[in-house]
Parts: sequence; structure tokens; C-alpha cells
Amino acid sequence: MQIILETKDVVKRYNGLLALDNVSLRIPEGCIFGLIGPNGAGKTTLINAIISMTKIDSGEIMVFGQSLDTADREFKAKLGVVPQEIALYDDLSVYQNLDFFGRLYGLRGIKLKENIKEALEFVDLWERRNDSPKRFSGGMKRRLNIACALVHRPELVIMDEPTVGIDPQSRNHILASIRRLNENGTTIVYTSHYMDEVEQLCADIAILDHGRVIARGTKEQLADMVAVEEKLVMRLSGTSYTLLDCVKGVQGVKAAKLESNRLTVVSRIRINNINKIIDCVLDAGAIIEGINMERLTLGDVFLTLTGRSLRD
Amino acid sequence: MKLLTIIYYSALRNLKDRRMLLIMLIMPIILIAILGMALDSMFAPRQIEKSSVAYLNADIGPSSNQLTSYLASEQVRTFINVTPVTCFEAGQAALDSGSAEAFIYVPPDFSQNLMRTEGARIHLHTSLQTPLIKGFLSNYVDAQNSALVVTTMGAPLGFTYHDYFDEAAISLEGKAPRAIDYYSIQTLLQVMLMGGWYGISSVKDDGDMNTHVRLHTAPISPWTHLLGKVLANVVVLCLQSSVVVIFSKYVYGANWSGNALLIVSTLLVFSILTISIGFLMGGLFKESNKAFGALWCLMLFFSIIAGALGNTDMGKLARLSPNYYAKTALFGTIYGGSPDAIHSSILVLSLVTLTVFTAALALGRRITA
Ligand SMILES: Nc1ncnc2c1ncn2[C@@H]1O[C@H](COP(=O)(O)OP(=O)(O)OP(=O)(O)O)[C@@H](O)[C@H]1O
Ligand SMILES: [Mg+2]
Repeated sequence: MQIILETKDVVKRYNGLLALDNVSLRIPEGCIFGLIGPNGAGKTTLINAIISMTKIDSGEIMVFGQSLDTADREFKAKLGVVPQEIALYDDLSVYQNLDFFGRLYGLRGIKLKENIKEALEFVDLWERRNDSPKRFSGGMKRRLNIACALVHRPELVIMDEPTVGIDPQSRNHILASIRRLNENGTTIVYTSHYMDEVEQLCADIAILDHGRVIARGTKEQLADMVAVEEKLVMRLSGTSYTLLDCVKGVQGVKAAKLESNRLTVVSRIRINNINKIIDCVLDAGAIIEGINMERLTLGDVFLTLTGRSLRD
Repeated sequence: MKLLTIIYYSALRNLKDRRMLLIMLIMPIILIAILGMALDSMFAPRQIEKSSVAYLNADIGPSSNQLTSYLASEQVRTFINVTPVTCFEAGQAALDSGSAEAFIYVPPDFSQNLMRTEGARIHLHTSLQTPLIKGFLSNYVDAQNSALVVTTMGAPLGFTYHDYFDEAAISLEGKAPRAIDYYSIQTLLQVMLMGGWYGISSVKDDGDMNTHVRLHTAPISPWTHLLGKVLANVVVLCLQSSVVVIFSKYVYGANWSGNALLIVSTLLVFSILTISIGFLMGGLFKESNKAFGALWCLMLFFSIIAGALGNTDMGKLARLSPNYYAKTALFGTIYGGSPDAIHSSILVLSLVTLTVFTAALALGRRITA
């Protein structure tokens, strides 16, 4: 399979901060590539580097087989970007926004009209085409933000958290559309905080943390990776914070988290430390109301690998 | 074609900005009406009387005859009553008594000096002091200078005329601008400076609305983008000033006659200058509000030193204001100033514009990068 987008040892520093630390990724043509990572992991920085909004300190980025340094402007026409921050002219109507961006890509006449209609139907805003986005809800603006990136029918679409704040119904509509877009040959790079979206959508996933790619693989590969972990969930009452320190000190515990009476502990597999964990709980004066071993999700890979929850 | 798209949508967005339409169209139309009427009394007496000028030709040679016939010509008589006097003292007396507002005196050696090509002199005395009128008079003097050269001396004499007149001015009452005429021009220029806001928004909007990401990823060059915005702003500003000109002309009866091409090109150059100032402010200041504040201060400063307060004469200070040059060019063409003065004003204006525009473009690299 052909590689449509490649980053080689990309490094980006902001003063003292290493925002991208030797990021190397190869994204094959025709896939939906998921890029996940906690806040500040460097996802947006990586995307900005790819669209050359941000200068990188070292490394190389290849888009459509051309190095960004030497690429002509032509490749831009094949690229679509949904920025994390909503990027719209709120003094133009929905239709005018798309018309403007479409024309910047050289579209005219019937072709332009068709593309605008398609892009607006994609996000279910065709009926609202004459409205001003000024009066739109946050979610509707997000949807228009997506449409603006699609009007020129790019071959590669990079979406930076495109569905934040969109209601579940519209989200499902958009996810289905993205899948359809992909079936028609568009390659998609997708970053999201919603694990379920990434699980549903992306065959290929990379996890970014502190500017580094800490895991990379298909859903299945990642699942295998986390299969060496065990997850224990307890429902407690009367918890205290000293409890968490105690649990984290238990042999074999890789990560622990306490969220409103729910204690989640990820341990190395086959350690048999459950008694010690229960001791910690009881010593802290908490009462165990329920106990459960759970199947690991992508979110748990996160917790394991980064020590943080994705939505922190 | 992409350039046209940018021009069209930038202009459309400018025109959708209601607050700016208010500032650019409604404000000047109201201001012109108010100032034109309220300050009309200042101008009124000068409107009614035709000025009278005492004239003494003591030249012993023939060259001054042409001046005499020129003064007697229909063209001149429409504006001035020329009364011949018999001696220098009589002219002086006419001035003193107020029966003449100016006294033109051609000395006996006039023709002789003319032949020597070292510059003959016509002496002109006047007691007029009104600073506001003085401004207009200087335009008129220029007109007289060049008119005299053309009609009486003829260019072939190789005659330099810049020190032709001894003292300031002579008044052309019938043709002098009324308050409405004056404030139509003054206010229009003042308001046009506020058009710099379009330049500021052009620089700031895409950053504020985050659309710079889309423009950056679209296959257009930053320069196309920048040029499109500049042109859109200039088109909008020219459109708006045309509305003000047409409205003040047909509704208020303000005088906008004169060389249309000169008027249009002056306003065009001034628009480009204004927009460039906006781009510059937008590039210099991080926040739109501060850029706008700076533009506002600049507008006040330029307007005041160029005579926005009507009767304050700022002298040489006025030359720091681009309004001064635009005004000089406009008054010049409308009230028949010397082509030289008009052209040099437009030249200065163009040079200033070019400088500011280049500076804005240099910043533009930063703006569009
Ligand atoms: N212009 C900048 N100047 C300085 N630091 C920056 C700049 N942009 C980003 N950073 C820093 O770089 C790091 C990565 O930021 P980035 O926006 O790429 O994270 P992200 O993964 O997109 O996070 P989020 O999920 O919140 O969008 C952060 O620590 C951020 O503070
Ligand atoms: Mg981000």
C-alpha cells in the first residue's frame, strides 16, 4: 500500500518544551488513521507541522510522496483540514462560506454547486445553507467547520477533534459519513478525545503522549498489547485520598485512579495482588460495595501507557 | 480568478459591516449637513460681495497691456471688479478705505525687467487676514500665476513666475467655496481615514476567526490573498466616497465640479493610502482594538492639522497631514488652482502612499505568513 503521509523523526520545540519528540508515522493511503493523546500531547502541533503552519526544528514530512520543504502548491488542493478551532466567516452565510473556500480551490459552476451540496449534506446542514453561522449553536458550527474542509473533495483529510460538542445523533451521522467518505477512497487522519469514535472508526491508531508516539498499531494489536494488563474496578464508600497512594505502592500496580467512589486499578497480569489492594482499601476505612474485573478498552491502554485518563 | 473571489468576498464582508457603513456613509452625510449649515455664516459675507481690486499699470513698456486686457476679460470680470486708479497713493487709499480689497500695481520697469528675463514683478497688496480664506486664496494665487503666464506672457519667454506676486492674496469671492463645499471635502477626507479600519480587519479577521488556517492550506499564494484584500478595500472605499460625493453634490448642492479625472484619482490615491495605513496599524498592533485606537488618533491628528476645525491655520504643520495634499489637490481642481500645485500635491500624496504601502507589504509577509 502506498504511503500518503509520512513523518520522519519530527522534532518541534516551544522554548524549553519538547512538543514533538522524534515523531515518526507512516500513514497508508485509503485508511482512517486515529491519533489519540491527552491534552497537550502534541496532536495539534503535529497537524500544524503537516500543513506547514508550524515550522519544525528537525525531521522531515512527506505528503503525497513529496517533501514539504520542496513540495509545490499543487498538493494543497488534495488536502483538506478540519482545524480544532472553528474556522468560519460568521459574517457570511453557510453557503457563502463554502462557496468562498471552494473557489479558492479553483472550483466553478455546476461542479462547485454539487460539491457544496454534498459537503453540506455530509454534515446535515443543507437546509440551513442560507443562515448565518453567527446564530448557530456550537455543534452546528463544528459541523460547518467540517464541511468547509470537504468542499474541494480532498484525497487526504486531516481532522483535529472534529466532533467536540456535537450531539450524539449528529455525531453518528457524521461518523457514518466519514466512513462513507473513506469507502470512496479518501484517506482520513482523525484525532479525537472520544475513544469510542476512534475504536469504531479507525483501523490504525497511534497514541501520542508528551510529544512521543508511545504506541502504534491496529485496534487488535493495541488490544493484544493491553492484554498483559489486568483491570480491577471497585465500588467504594467512605473513600479517602491516602487510599490511592497505598494502592499505587502495591507490587505490580501500574496505574490507579479514584473517581467518585470508583477505584480503578491496572496491574501487571498474574501478579495476584488483589488481597493487598483490598487491604489498602480497608485500611483507609473504605467499605467495598462491589468488585469487578473489567475488559480493557482503548481508554485503559491510555491509562496504562500514560498514567492519565484521556479526558483529564 | 481566485483573486476575483478574494476581492468579491472581502468587499462583501466589508459591506456587511453595518457599523462601518454608518461611519463611512451616514456620518459624513450628517456631518456635512451640520457643519455646512452651522458654519455657513462664517463664509456667508464673502459670498455675496464681489471683490473689488484697484489696479494701477505704471509700466512704460508694452508687456503689461496683456495683463490689463486680461483683467478686463469676461473671465476675470465675473469674479472681480477691477477699478483702475491713477496713482499709487490712490490705490493705497482705496485699500485703506476698504473700497478695494486688493491693489494690483505694475511698476514702471515691468516690461524692461521682463526682457531681462530676471523676473518682473507685479505687486499685490491686500489687507485680508482671515486665515480660512487665506487657505483658499493661496489656491487662487496659484491659479492666477499660471493663468497669467499662459495668457499674458506666454511660456516661450522662459519666464519664471514663482516670485511673481509680492504679497499674499486677492480674493475671488464669487468662486470661493461656501461652507458646504468646504466641509464636503474636509469631512469626506476625514471620514475616509476611518476606512483604515477595513485594512485593520483585513489583517486581523482571519487570525481572529481562525480562517487563516484554511487560507494557508488553500492553493493560493499569500500575495494573491493580500492583493485581493487591498483591492477589495480600495474598491469599497472608493464606492463609499463616491456615494458621499454624489449625495453632497446633488442633495446639498456642494461644488464638485472640476476635472473629474483629477478628483477621482486623488480620491483613489487617498483610498489606497488609508487602506495601507490600516494594514500598517494592523501589522504593528497585536490587538485590533489598539490598532483601531491608533487609527482614530491618527485620523484626529491629520484632520486637525489639515484644518478640520475650519478657521485654524496650522501653517506648515498642515503639510504633515496627507489630508492637506488631498485637500489641496481637490480644492485646486475644483477652484481652478495652478496645475503645478495640484500635480505636486498628488505627487506627494502618491509618494507617501507608496511608502506606507511598501511598509505595509513588508509587514504583510508577517501578516500573511
Ligand atoms: N504556539 C505555542 N507556543 C508555545 N507552546 C505551545 C504552542 N502551541 C502548543 N504549545 C504547547 O505544545 C504542547 C502540545 O500542544 P498541542 O496543542 O499540540 O496539544 P494537543 O495534543 O493538540 O492537545 P489538545 O488535546 O488539548 O488539543 C502543549 O504543551 C502546548 O502548551
Ligand atoms: Mg489539539
